[in-house]
Amino acid sequence: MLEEGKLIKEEDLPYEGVRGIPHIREAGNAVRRRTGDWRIFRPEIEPERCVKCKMCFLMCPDSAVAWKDGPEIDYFVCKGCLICASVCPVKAIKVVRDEGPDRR
Amino acid sequence: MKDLIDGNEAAAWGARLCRVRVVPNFPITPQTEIIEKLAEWREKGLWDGEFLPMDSEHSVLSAAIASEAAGARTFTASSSQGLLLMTEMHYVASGMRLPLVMVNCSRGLAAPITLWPDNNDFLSLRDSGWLMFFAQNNQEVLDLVISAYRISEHREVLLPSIVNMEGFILSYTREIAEIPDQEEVDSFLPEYAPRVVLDPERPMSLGIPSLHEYMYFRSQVHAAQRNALRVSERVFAEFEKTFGRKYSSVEGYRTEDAGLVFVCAGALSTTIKAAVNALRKEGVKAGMARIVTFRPFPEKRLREILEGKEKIVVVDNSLSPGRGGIIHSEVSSIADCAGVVVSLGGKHIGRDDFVKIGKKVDGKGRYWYF
Repeated sequence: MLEEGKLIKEEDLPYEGVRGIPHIREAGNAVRRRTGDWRIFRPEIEPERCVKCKMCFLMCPDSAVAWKDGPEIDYFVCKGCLICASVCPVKAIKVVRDEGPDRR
Repeated sequence: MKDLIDGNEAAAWGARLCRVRVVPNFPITPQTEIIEKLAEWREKGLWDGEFLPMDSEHSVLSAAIASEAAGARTFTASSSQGLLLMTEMHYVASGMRLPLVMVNCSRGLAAPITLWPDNNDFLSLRDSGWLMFFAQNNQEVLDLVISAYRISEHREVLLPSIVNMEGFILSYTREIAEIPDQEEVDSFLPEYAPRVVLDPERPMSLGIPSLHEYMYFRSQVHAAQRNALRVSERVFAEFEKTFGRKYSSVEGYRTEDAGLVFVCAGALSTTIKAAVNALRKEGVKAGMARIVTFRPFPEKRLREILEGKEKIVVVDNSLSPGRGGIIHSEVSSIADCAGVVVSLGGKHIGRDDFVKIGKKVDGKGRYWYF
């Protein structure tokens, strides 16, 4: 891929052979697709308030909330839909504007 | 009335205020909300036209041609792949000299598949004979739909019009827009009074086979396009008198004393205006010429603005592979200019990117900005 924010002269546009053909060679590749960079807002769990009801874990449409003793959000996957924050009965998930490294 | 509406709703308002009688339609992202809005208004009794869900975009434009030929003011909308599926019929509509109006929400063309905007779909109609207008914001979508009917239906023009807005950037973004009163629009746009109408009482054939005369009829489409430039300036002047908003075939922004002039069209121009202001703060005398009327091409007005400028940079979010930016190749026929291809498939570009482009690009090369 060409570098973000790069200005190049037309004559320097590289020809990259089959790399330039939009295709996918293997199945199960969604694990490598970073959807975290879609986020505008980021849900953040406050563990001290969490009552471990599992609502966020159950309701996340992308299975971005894993369960390891308590909820853990995978920010590589989380698109920031904030359903978790809205279903949390004790408001233990706060919403912050996302400018972190997971979001381009 | 002022309201917070997105580009799709602005387009639907334009159609409703023009009292369109027939809307053949087919859904496609990012345009679907236009027809959803009209369907909703019809259910509520706020708009009483014919709402015709069709089986494809080709059928949509075929039905639109038929209803317009039968004397009903007709509107439709599409995008991207849908617009391309209609294309065969676009040439029929202009050749039959039917002044229907449609809106395109531009979206990059497959492959690969994208939903995000660039203007290749819209610009594929370059040679179709349609009048082509670029809106830069939601207010303009609404205003240009109203103006387009006036220009299209003018007896010296009689050609269909298409108004373009970038999908998502305008179609799904809310802005405050002034929605004119129905009475105002009625006074600006009289009832459609066609002179050649399909009527079962007086049978007639339209779009006839024509071998020797073919070139004559196509020359008439060209002559009508040339008239449209004059007519549109008159209509825009009258629009300003009625509604208080000023339009022109080309908008010049801070161009008078500018050494560097960006040439662009559509929604990117609002970002470029911000870049022009940022460049001026740094002491670079920048300006911008925005093409509103792409067809007919406003050659004279553009030439006046670009006359004697040191550096002209044409910004295209479209591509003719093997040639370059589509508007660049048009503008390079009237002035020495550089071309930069940006934002294909809606790739993000912001104010600071244009500042960088303005500083780094020379006055003649061809560039890509990623």
